[in-house]
Order: sequence, then C-alpha cells, then structure tokens
Amino acid sequence: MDLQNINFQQIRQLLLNKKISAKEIAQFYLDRAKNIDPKIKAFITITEKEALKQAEIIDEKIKNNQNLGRLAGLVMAVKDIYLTKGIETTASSQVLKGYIPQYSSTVYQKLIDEDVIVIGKTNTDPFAFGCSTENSGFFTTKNPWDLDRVPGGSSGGSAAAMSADLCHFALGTDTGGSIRQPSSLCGVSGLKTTYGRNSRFGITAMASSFDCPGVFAHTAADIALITEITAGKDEKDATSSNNEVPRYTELLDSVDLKGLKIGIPKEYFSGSINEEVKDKVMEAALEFEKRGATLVDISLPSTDLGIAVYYILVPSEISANMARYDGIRFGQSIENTPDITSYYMKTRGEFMEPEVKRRIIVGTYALSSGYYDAYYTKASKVRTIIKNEFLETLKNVDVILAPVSPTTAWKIGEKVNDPLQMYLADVFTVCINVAGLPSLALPCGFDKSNLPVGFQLIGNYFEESKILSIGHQYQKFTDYHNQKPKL
Amino acid sequence: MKVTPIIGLEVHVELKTKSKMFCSCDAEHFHIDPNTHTCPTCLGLPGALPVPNITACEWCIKLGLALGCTANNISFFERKNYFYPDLAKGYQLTQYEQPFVVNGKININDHEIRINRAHMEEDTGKSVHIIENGEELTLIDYNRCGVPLVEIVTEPDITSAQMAKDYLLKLQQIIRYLDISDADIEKGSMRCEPTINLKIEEDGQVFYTPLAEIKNVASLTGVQNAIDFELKRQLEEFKETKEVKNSKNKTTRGWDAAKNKTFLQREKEGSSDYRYFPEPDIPHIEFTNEQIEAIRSTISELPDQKIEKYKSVYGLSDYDAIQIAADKYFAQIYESVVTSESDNKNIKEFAKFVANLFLGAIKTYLNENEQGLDQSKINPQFFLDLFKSVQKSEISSTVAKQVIIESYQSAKNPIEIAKSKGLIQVSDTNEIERLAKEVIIANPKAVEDYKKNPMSVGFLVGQLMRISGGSANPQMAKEVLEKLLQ
Amino acid sequence: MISNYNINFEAKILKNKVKYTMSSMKISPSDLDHIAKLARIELSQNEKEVFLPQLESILDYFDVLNKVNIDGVAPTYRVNEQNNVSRQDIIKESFSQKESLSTASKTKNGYFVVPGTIKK
Repeated sequence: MDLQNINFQQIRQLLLNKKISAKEIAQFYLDRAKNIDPKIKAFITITEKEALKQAEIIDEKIKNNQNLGRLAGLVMAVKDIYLTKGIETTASSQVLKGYIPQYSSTVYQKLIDEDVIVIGKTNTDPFAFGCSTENSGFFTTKNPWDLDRVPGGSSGGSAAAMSADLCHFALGTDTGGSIRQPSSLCGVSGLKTTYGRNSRFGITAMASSFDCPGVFAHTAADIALITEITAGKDEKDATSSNNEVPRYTELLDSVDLKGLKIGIPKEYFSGSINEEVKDKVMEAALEFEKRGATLVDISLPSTDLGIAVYYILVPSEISANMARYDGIRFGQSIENTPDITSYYMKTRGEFMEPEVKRRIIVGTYALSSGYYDAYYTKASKVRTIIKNEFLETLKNVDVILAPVSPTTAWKIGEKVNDPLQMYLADVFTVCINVAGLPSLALPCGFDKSNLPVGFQLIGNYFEESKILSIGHQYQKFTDYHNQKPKL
Repeated sequence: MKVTPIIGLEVHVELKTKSKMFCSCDAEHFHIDPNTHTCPTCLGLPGALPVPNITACEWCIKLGLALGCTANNISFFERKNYFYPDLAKGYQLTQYEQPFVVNGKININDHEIRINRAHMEEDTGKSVHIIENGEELTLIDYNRCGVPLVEIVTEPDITSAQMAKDYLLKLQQIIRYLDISDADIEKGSMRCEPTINLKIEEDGQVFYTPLAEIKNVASLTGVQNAIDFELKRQLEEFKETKEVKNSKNKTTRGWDAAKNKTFLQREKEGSSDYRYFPEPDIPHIEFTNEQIEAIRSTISELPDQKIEKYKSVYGLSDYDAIQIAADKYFAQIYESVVTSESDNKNIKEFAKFVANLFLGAIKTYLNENEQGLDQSKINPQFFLDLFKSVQKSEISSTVAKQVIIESYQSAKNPIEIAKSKGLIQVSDTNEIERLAKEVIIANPKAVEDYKKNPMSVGFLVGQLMRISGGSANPQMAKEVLEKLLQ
Repeated sequence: MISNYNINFEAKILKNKVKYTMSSMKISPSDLDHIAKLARIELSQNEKEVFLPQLESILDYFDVLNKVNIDGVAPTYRVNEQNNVSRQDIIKESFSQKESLSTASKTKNGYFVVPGTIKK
C-alpha cells in the first residue's frame, strides 16, 4: 500500500475500517525514515520506541471500539525546540545534548491527546537562531529537492521531513520567517499564526514577543485541521489569546474570491528579489485575478527598516531568554572551574554555537547601559510604525500577497561566513513578525533549476480562517503542492 | 564639624500567599525538603513561562495604600538581568519604571519618612556552601525561588539607627495588621538593607561621603549596630581620605554580626548593569480606580488609628494604648470586650478596667506560659460582671486580676471563682471592726507609731488585709482603723 | 562677517565628522570583552577575531534606523496585548524532588550542586 500519497481523510478511513493498523502506519514511516533520512538528515532523533507504543495504544482502542482522537492514524514530526516529556530535546544545540525534559509543550501535548504518532524530533538552527539549519550544533539538513542546498530555516528539518513525506505534518516555529521560509524553499505549505494564537509554553523561548508555534503540511486544509486543535488559550502562557478558535476546517470555502482585494506591496517585489521568484509569485497573484479578485498596488514604505528592528529586538530578548542555560539544573556543564564566574563563562562558552553567542552578544549590547535608548527603545518605536503601517493598509485591502524568500534554496555553505547577509535574506518575512500578523506560505512553482518557489498570504490579527480559505481555494486550481522531490 | 547621618532603608517582605508569584507551586519553603515545591516556571526550565498571582498584586497595593501611597492604574513587570546560581532564569522578574504603588510616608515620632515606592518581585532560591573533600561546593534549593516579595524603598529621610529601628517596627506592625506577611526578621520574611552616607559640614563647606549599602543584616539589633558601625566608619574614612560621593563609588558591604563590623563585599562597580527591559511574557496589569478603592476598603483600622481611638474615646494612657494596639488580634479582642458595654457613660472607666486586666494580668500570664491570646477563652460578660463587682466594692482590683486568670484557664465565671475561694471582699462594717480590733491588739508598736504619725496607718491596713486573706475592702479597713484609733 | 563665520563653522563640523567616522568603531575589543563577561560567555581568541568585524557590520547596519522620525511614537513591547492576565492564589501539584533533579548533572542530598561560589 502506498501510504505516501494518501491524504489525512483517506488514511483515517483505512484505519477506522480496519484495512490497516496503526502499527503498520508507524512501521511504514519508521522504515521510510530509516531509508531516506540518511540522505536529507531531517531528524535529530527518530522516536521508534514511542511511535510503536503510541500505535499500540491506538490499535487497542480500535479493538475495544473506544473513541479515537481526531489525529489517530497520522504521523507527526516535531521541531526539536518543542519539549517532549521523556524524549531527548536538544534544540539542535550542544547545550542541551542529552536533555530529557520532565514535561511537554502544550501544543505538543494537545496533539498527543488526539492520538497522533510522533515519528521524530527534527533538526533546526540551534534554539531556532538561523534560516538554513547550517548553524545546528549537530549537522545541516539537506533540501530534498537538491541535496547540495539548504532546506531553509530555522525549521529546516521539519520542512524537509514534510517535503520528503517522512510524516503527515510537522511542527515548527516562526519568529522571523522560520516556518514560511523553509516551506517555500522545500515546496510545502506552512502557517505562521497570529502571535498568541498558539501557546508558547514548553517551547524553548527565542524572542518572547515574536515566537509563533505553527504547522507544516502539504495543504492548507491539513493545516486547518491541526491548527484547530493546537490553537487556544493556555493558562500557562499569559500571552496566549482569549479569542475563540474558529472551526477552520469548516471555513475552508468561506471566502469569496470574487471581489477579494489583494494588496501587492511594491517593496516586496523589488530590491534583492530574484527575477524568477518574482515571476512565480506574480503568477500566483494573477491566478486569483483570473477568478475575480482585484490586485491592488500598495506600499509598505517601512519594509526596509524591518531587519534592523528585528535584529535589535530579537537578540535583546534572546540574551535574557538564554541566561537560564547554565548547566546547573539541566544541560551540559564544565567541571572543575575555580569560581562561579568562570564556571558560567566556560560552560556557556564551551557548548553554545557561534550564532547563539553572536545573538546573545548583540542583544546584551543593545540592552546595555548607554545603548538601551539608542537601540532597544528606538527599535521598539519603529516596531509601532511598522505595525501601524500594516494595519492601515489592511483597512483598504482584504489580504496582502507577497514573496517569502528573495531567492530559492542556496547552496550549503554559501552564506555561512557572513551573518549579516544571512539576516538580509529575511527581508520579506520579518516585518510580519514585528507586527504579529498571521501569514500562510504556499508553494507556487519552480525555478529553472526545479527549486521550489513559495508565496505568502498575510491577514489581519486572527484572520487565519480567511487566509486558510484563500490558500485552500488556490490549491484547488493549482497543483504545485502535490509535486514531490525525487529521492 | 557637623555630621548628619543620611539613611535610606530598602525592605523586602515575603508575602504569605499560598502559591508562588509566577507559578502555582506551594510557597511554603521553611523546613521543607529541598526542591520539592518546584515546577518548570520556578526552576527556569526551557520553555517555561510566568503567570502572575493576582492576590500578591492586590496585597502589594493594599500595603502601598496603608502606607499612604498612590496606586498606579497601569503597572508592568520588568526583567532584571544578572547571573547567580540561585536565580534560576538568569533574570529576576521585578518592577522598575512603573511599580504598583508610589509616594507614601510613615511618621516616626513626628518625623516624616517618605516612601518612594513599593513593588512586586520574586525571591531567589537558597544556596548553601559546604566543603567536601577539600572542594568547595554550592548546594541550591529552589523551593524559595519565585515566592512573592514586596520591596519597600524609603527616601533617605532616616537620621539615626534608633529611627531606623522604629521605622522597621512600625512597618512590621502595619504589615502584620494587614495580615499579608509574618514579617519576621529572624526567619527572613522581612529583610532590611540600609543605605548609608554622611553629610559633613566643615568650615562653611558641605561634603557627602560615598554611599554604602549594607546586606545580610539578619536582625533588628543587627540593623542598629550595622548602622552605628557604618556611621563611625564613614566618618573615620572621610577624615583620612576626604573621599566624597560620586556616581561610581557606591559600595556594597556585608554585615558580620560576630565581629560587629561591615566589610567590603564587592569591588567598587558603580551600579551593576542589570539591563532592565519590560517583561514580554506578561501583559501589563491595570487596576481601575474602583478596584483600587475596593482594595482600600479591605484595610481595617491600622495601629495609629487604634491608638488614637484608645486615647480619645477610651481615655487610655499613651503607654496602655500603644501596648494594646501592638498586636492586631489582641487589640480586636480587647475591643470586643469594651464594646460589649452598652452604657456609654461608663465606657472610659470600663475600658481602663479591661485594659488593666488585659495588660496587667492576662498578658503577663500569656508571656509566662508562652501562649497567644485565645479568643474563645475571653467572655465579655465576665468582664462586665467583674466590673460591676469592683464598682460595688465586692471585689478588689487585686482579686479581679487573680480571678480573671483562673476564669481564662477554666472558662468559669470569675464571680463564682471569687465566691468559691472566699475572695468576695468583706465590706461588712461589723466584720471589719472585728478584724480591726484584732489587728490593734496584735500590733501595739504600730499603734504607737500611728499615734505619732497618722500617715503610717498603711502598715495596720496591711495587717488587716493579711489576716482577712486579702478579702477586706482596703478603703473601709483604713476608715475603720482610723475611727477606732481616735 | 556672518558668511565667513558660517564657512568656518561648517569646516569645523566637516573636520569633526571625518574624525568621528574614523573613530566610530561601534564595538572595540575591550567592549567585546565587557559584553562577553556581562553575558557570561567565554570567547576564544579566534572567536573574538571572527566576531568583531561581523558584529561591527551588524551594528553599523542598525544605523538605518537613525533616519526614522520617532517623535511622539509609543514603543511596542508586546503585540496584540490582552491586559490583566493573572491567576488565582491556588496551589497546584509541583514536581517531585526526583523529577526536579532528574535533569541535573550534579546533585547531593536533594540539592542541585554547582562548583564553589566563594573565592578561596
């Protein structure tokens, strides 16, 4: 049975009709991981024991005619910054090598409670600091479309696992583009929700006012199902939203494309953008126009300020969030240091990866006495300007359509020596995080080298149902999301 | 040379909430097995997030209002970043720019000490240093990590160690009255850090010595001694070095109680760079004026108000009023007895009578037996009955004190106790005459003395009291003796 | 007279500008040492040499914000904020001591252990 190319509903039917067992599903994906993952190295840990145990529980429930969770039969890959109780969680950093958490992230637990099977923890840039997984303390993940190229990041492992069909869906986080960008580079779909839509509890914190947990899948419809389950108020996360969670799966056809006003921001279609990428994204916009939508030229003049705002505020929050990594209560540590200060210096110096150190240093500098106003306060004010610009614009259009990455996947090693160049590649994603808005990334074609191109649909706060509906309909009249890499 | 001490006090008070400030762990940490009241949040584990305890916030405002502060409608938390093993997250959640309450004051003997602010923060864990096999080890217990603290900061308005002590006692009393903390300095639920310098006026010039913050003062006497020592030390140092205060030479000093001196604890670092910034994990907290007034309405009478009431309405002396108001519970029980007297004409006399029994008898008894006052053993009716008896001279005030203790212990009516022990005062003239005649016959020398000096009748009265077992009415005894000896 | 004054004044500013640019290094090696110590991260000599120019270019890049007019703009510290999130003062279950210590590399008698904090 070719389990690889069947959708969520189909696999669930097979399971409920006892045409296939959960164990067989789990085993299929475990075998697939064993065969394919060595080529792409999406996984830090393949959770064979847990997967088979979870499958066993599901099969027991079926045997006893008990109620099954909504995700029974589905297999999930989890970005290794989500804490998973009893399963090693490394955040792709040597700092946490060997760390077995005593508790799980809320989002992860919600999915487990719906009988999902966990297939493994995926590679990322360490603590999610990066956009290619090349900063990982363990290894770089390969793009399934071209093994010499990066999958994007930081959730590169999840995107690659998704692209190679090593799972049905995968968890990631988007702080500056870390779901949308790897989605686009790997030819899959990915949702950055509104800030506060999903609980951050139990996910290693990068930038507290930017981090958004989210999902990779092949279709907007699949993303809708998972998000319906993960979203919602968490009493353990004071920044999680009270807003009611809509039934996204029932709203997939709710938006009428006729008369839909789609904003095309000129700043996102100029500058560093590659011509082929620009063409493919415009094609996507034209597909909507063919079906009755109106393309509206808009301007977001503060776009070029986004990188500076992002790379001041995010490292500032990082510098404080990373202070707890001292090897005392968890994590690796250095023995036999002469005093407490050198204990801290050596432990953190030994295990933290270069990008982790760089960001902590930039953040510490930006918050330090004498610089706080010039950097942190100033960036916080420009954040207001960027946010308000989006909100003003969204009064005049229903949704904004834009590219995600200025280029398709670049070669491994090409940008590692110039961190600033790496940061500048985030130009089309970071402003959305600065404002906290939701954005759905979808595949919209391939360049001449057969590398995936993606675009994003940006909505106002809590408009996930709108952008999922627009994306779902797009995927009814296009086929890019069904294209798979040859592995 | 004129030297004026300038002292500011920073006090940390541990609130006695059930749970911690930012998580739901049990806040109890005294005599508890290490690391048994911890969770991801107070352990600072990856991905853990804080959620503030609303009761703690309300109590902070309550305390601020009781100190005459203004409550800010909008308030938020900030991160204070520094590294120490007992600080699990590597930053402490506290308040900086916008605390809950600001600008209050406390009066100490007509000297006003301004309160700059009171804010909420979380406590750190506890570290223990041991030496094992020649190696120095630090052991950490995070049970206390995350317990709510209110920090109260005064302006440098305190001018002596005695005033500092008085301020602390008054602050402690108010806190206990509000029932938000045990405020026990020895147990660490109230911690004090004085910051001290001197103003020196010499030859028309004014100098200020560098600021010194004193830490680890673990008792009230410690605070006084530390301040006294530091004032002397700073004067000596100034005479030698002439160093004056600037923005970079504030020092932190520890208090060594055994050696009775302060010592330099950290290098001169100016102010540490804590890189404060607003806490992104906790939305800001808003208290409307209505909500603030609702909190204010939960503040019952404070000590100063009670003392005023006891003096003006009950006619108690300064001393008695202060003594009774010292403990809120004690005061409340006293008041419940006094207010049971419905006849306002008698209220002052009755109030003094009850005060006398409470302070002169009951309190002494409780202190001797190391007990607290048990409300169930205080029956207001008994006090009313005793009062009437004393007014009728059936019972002397000495006997009243005696029987109220027995009544407290046994819950029996004190009048019954007096009767059963034959302590009802004899005011029968015949009986007293009989006793007086006995005394006169038995004490011829005293009678002689009396005839020479009538003021010495006291001895004979005393003898009569003795042979009557204390039950004679002393005033009547005196009158009868004087009449017989004419 | 006035125009002469202006020319001299401008020349002075220009000279200062040039001087400023030459010594406008945003992060010197000793700055880096200070920041690394604040952040408690030991950097090897190699790391310092690699990081300094990278950090310099990043900090230089931030100058793009200098042209923005932020007069009267309030800072955004938290997006999408819902005020007054708090919890009732109720005790919930904690970790057991064993769970608490399960991830530590060094423990003793129920305590976490760190190397000594007092200088010998």
